[in-house]
Amino acid sequence: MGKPLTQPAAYHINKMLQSIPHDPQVAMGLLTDREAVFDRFGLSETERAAFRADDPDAIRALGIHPHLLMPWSMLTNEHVRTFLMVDPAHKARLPGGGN
Amino acid sequence: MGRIVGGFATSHVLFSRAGHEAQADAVFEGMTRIGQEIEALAPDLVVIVSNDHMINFNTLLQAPFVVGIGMSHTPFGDLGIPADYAIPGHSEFAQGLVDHANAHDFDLGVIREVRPDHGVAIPSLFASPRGKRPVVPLYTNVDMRPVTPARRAYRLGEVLADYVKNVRPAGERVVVLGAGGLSHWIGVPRQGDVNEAFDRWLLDRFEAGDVGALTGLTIDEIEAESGNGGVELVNWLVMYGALHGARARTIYYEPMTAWWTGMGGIAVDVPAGA
Repeated sequence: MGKPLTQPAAYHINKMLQSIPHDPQVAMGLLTDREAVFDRFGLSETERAAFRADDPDAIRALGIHPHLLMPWSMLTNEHVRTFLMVDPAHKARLPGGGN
Repeated sequence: MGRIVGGFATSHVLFSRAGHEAQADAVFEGMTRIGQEIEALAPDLVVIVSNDHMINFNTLLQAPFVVGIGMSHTPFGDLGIPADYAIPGHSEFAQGLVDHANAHDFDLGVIREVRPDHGVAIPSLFASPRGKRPVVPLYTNVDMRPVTPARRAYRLGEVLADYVKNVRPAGERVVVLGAGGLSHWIGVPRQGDVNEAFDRWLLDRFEAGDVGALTGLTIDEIEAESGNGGVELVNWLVMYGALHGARARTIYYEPMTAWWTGMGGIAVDVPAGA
């Protein structure tokens, strides 16, 4: 942990990304009208370009917290979203019956 | 005088089985076995030492240690974890721990309403099925600098043990479970890698009761070998301090490259007469 995990100048982007699990307007907005969400969080043209290209290296290079790539990937990548789920077969076998 | 009757540690994710069913089932069996061992110990409550993943604590606010002092904890529901029930908390135990730690050089934050993400919710599925017994979450910070050193994590576990032994009522039975790890890299170019050799070395050190080797690791060394996710090892070390570094049994290990993480679990028995 020799270097900062997150750049102070990227805090507005972190705020956008960490809102995804909590705020359906942000989550849905990033899928349907992402420029409006970028406006709301004040992203610059360069910052928007990284997200438009969905380029992990470019997004990382903005100085975001690395863990916050995850909510973005889970929102925008269906394969990641379905893969990162407790398997239904395991859920059914949970002690106490899961749900 | 309460008693810590057992310690456990486990990785805290479960993902899709598709394409690697045997490995995934071995992990699930391992977690199930940990749940069965906890059940056999008949604890009154389980302290789960884990970390959040940008749900309750994010770049807005991080604290070195935070105890969930609420009457109950409803899972956040990430990873499809059932969130239709609340896990009971134990406010009196939790607040007492904060007070005791304060008198022993640890200032712990508190959270009254936490919505546990998988860090606490996955181990709870096995340690407290459908909220069967109270869970006290003890959150560490592994996301923001600085991360608590390994030695201090272990020392906090010793303070927890002292609290149970000297403050808690006679007959109270407590299990401590550390959750997280093993090697994984999140949101960085090395994501997807697993350092099986380091994971197995760690499990071997726990089996040997080698407190010196484990607490001698720096956070930089842990991160270099096992990734920014592998730093969750500090959760295991809080548990290990509470069990005074007794020898562990490895319950399961799978280098789950398909899940981008080494998955492992251990049990630490309380030595006879302790």
